Amino acid sequence: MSTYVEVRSDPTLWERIRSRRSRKKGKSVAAAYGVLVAAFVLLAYLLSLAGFLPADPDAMDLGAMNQLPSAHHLLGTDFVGRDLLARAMVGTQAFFLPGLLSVGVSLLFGTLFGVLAGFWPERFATPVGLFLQLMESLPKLVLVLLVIALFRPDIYLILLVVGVTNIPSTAELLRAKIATLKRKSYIEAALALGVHPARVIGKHILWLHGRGVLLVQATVGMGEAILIETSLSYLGFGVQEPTPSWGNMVALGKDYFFRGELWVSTAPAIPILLTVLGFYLLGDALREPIAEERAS
Amino acid sequence: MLVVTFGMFALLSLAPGDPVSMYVNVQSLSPEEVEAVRHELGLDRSFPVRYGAWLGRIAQGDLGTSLRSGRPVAQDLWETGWRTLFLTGSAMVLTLLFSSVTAYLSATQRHPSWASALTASGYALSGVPVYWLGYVVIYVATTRFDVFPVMSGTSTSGTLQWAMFLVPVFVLGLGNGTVSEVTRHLRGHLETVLTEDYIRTARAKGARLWRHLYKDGFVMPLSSLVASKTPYMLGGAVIVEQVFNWPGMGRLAWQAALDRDYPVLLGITLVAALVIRVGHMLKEATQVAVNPQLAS
Amino acid sequence: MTESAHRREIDESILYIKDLRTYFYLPERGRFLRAVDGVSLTVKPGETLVVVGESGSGKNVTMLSVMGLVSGAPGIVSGRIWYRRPEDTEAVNLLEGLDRFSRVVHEPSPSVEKDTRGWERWHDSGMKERRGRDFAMIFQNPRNALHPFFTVGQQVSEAVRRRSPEISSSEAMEEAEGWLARVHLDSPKKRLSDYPHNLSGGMCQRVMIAMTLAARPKVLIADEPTTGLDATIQSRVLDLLEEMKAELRTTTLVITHDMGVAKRLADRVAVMYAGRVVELGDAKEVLDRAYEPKHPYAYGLLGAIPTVDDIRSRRRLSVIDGDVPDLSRLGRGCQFDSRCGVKPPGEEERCSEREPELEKVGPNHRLRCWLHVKEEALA
Repeated sequence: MSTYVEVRSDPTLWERIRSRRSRKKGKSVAAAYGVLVAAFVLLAYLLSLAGFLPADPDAMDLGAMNQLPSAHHLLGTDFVGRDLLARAMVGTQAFFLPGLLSVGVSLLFGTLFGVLAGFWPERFATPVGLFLQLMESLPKLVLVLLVIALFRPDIYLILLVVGVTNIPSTAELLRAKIATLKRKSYIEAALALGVHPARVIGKHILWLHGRGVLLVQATVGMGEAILIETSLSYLGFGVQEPTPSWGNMVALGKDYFFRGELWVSTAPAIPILLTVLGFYLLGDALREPIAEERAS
Repeated sequence: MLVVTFGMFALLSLAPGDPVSMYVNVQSLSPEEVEAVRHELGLDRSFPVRYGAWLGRIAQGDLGTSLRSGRPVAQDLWETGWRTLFLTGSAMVLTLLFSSVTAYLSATQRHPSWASALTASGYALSGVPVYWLGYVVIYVATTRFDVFPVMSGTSTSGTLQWAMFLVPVFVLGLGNGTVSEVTRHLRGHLETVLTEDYIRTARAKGARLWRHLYKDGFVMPLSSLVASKTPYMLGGAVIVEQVFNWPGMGRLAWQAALDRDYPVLLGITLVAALVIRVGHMLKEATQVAVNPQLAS
Repeated sequence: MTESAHRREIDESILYIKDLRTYFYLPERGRFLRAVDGVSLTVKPGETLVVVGESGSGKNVTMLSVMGLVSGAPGIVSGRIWYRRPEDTEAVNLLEGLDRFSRVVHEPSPSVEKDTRGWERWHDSGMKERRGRDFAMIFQNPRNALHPFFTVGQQVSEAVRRRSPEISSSEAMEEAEGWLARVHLDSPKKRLSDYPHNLSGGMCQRVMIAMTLAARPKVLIADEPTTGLDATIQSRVLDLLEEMKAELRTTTLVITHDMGVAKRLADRVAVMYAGRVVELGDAKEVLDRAYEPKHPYAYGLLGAIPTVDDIRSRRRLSVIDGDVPDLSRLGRGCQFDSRCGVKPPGEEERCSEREPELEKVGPNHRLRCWLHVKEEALA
């Protein structure tokens, strides 16, 4: 495929290029998709809480096992005839609040430590750095398994731990940002103009400059939380039957692969794919404009 | 590494349960004998002393005994560790290969159709839950190619034996989600490097581009990425090993979590952290060797 | 007379750039930036042609086009670059094949379509052979232009081995040491194992010059060789370049915005503005502010350099009002029109309506200005 170009001979008229969409457009598509995904998940969550489900997620119908999507069951049924769409919607409950907890913890404490390390690097930079090193050296899933063995397989506890593991990276990013701003005398200038220190931190640093970083951490963190929750449920540690989670739905369906019934396991895998992809793409898309901002 | 052990110990102390059970089978001993062991191990002393004692034991290779099997943890890890290392190492190589090719094609804009196809598939694969992907692959391999005798009950020929090894490597290497991250980072980095002045000079000299490019464009970023993505690979190994029944440390971890066998998990965590830290040290060594500006 | 003299000039040249056009597409504006908009130059073997102009005049892009190092769509759009070494009978067009990758369409309006990727691949495979052998180039900001991860010795010997691939690496390194000594780099043997970041800017530029000399090129292109260096170092680098010029007599193209550099190195000078050559001729004529005829822009440019007389007479430096035109929005008339102060009275319209051609106004002098070009020359 080649790039064609039109060059008008009269220099005062318009000149257009014919093909090749720029990467910028791709970024906004990704961001839009991510936002859409997040909205869908939120919707499903709220609906499931309120009970507005297409069917009873626990209602078994042994005469309609492992069915493909139909008018009656929009996502098909599982191995005991329960409606997959309803179960998928309820499945959002397994990760929604714990995920928010994880992200909340990492952002809250990450911001706290980041600001501390940024303004008093002599005291706080090293501990934060060591904490970061510690967290970078541990595989999350293994750590989670350890926590399960030491304590108990409580999804809130687990995602709390995951949130804690994300604290130092947020803190470090903020610290670096503050250090840059300091170097540019931005903060000095603001303080010299008489802006109250708390306002400097709150409005100038966090909102104007930090929000990009924080947003990226939040979106990626949520994606990661979903991935961990579903992986754990798959392995048997998360939500237990009969409560549905996307992970344990995949696990339950996997034995049916060899009977040729692929859908039971695939149906819950699809929302996992779409949702995690959505959050990661959103984080990705948010990252680029931040980089541009930084350059300017 | 010291930090890691400190963190682990802190976690241990927080846990409910009697640490003595890490070392002896409490059920089989009388209370006095348990007390004797406790005193001998120094478990009734203060935190720093306990920590020191524990650290000493670890350094001598005593990682405690498995709660389930009664065997020393170190031995179990030694047997299974290499298998996991093989799996993870090969998978990492595969990830790097795939990402390097995709990033290079993308950045230099040769064969743009290939580049987009590879990038898109990388993104798609990154959201797919590894466990589901593993089963799909098994299903395809079993029904079409008779690769897994365990599943279908038939025997395999010599060539297919190899496939049995490679398939998990492929699933972990491509399906774990690290591919899209690595590709993205690498492509961004390559694009920056390609606009550097010295690349222009190299082209003006008529020199071969690759020679000037590989150090800054590949070795540097890839070494960083390997060091930072190893934890994710190890985490993915847990799941892949479970799916494929691969007798490595990951499957051991899963089993141990089910049994709440925390000495084993603690050992695994420590070994994983050790591997990761070694990875970091290798990265530093490589980068210093390649970039003369770092030597100071 | 003009025809045959022109013909002779071309025949004697080693390089003849004919009507080169290099455009870049700006997606944010949906327009093309005409960096080089119809440049024609001849270079005689052994002479040093200095191209002067401000940033944005197109001088850098012209040279990059010669080397085939232009990146960005669409790049070189049209023109010829004839290259003929004195020992050759035939000249070769470095831009050969451009026609094959472009075609003229008439609907919806007269325009040229270019297959950019195909052309780049084609052109690059041809130019790859010549770079580092026939053509060598020095760049500005020498510290950034040298590869940070390779030693000086490795980089210079790479240039040596490019020229003579049969030489062994140890021999190439020895020769590299010789070149470093030639450019007056102190302790050359020690320098071989130094990295660019151990060297100062001036030393890096010497290394670059050594690299290009080692290639024994037929044409040497120096892209703002003194930019980015301290003033005292600039002078030393110019000393070196003058010395090399006297010793080797390599055909050299120098790009600069610094008239001082032109004064020291030039045999002939080309003044560029808005992607075109506006004045072209012998150095003594072009660089002399008092020489007539002269292009108003060149006059203004020369007036901006303080000379000893200016200081003595306390003359105010001349400043040219206005700004360089937006190269993506060029008008129909002379590009200097809005800033020119010497338009022929009663004929201002001609300056804003029609662009003058580069016309001969002396035996070795050409101008692009209505003030000095006769109307009949166009008929």
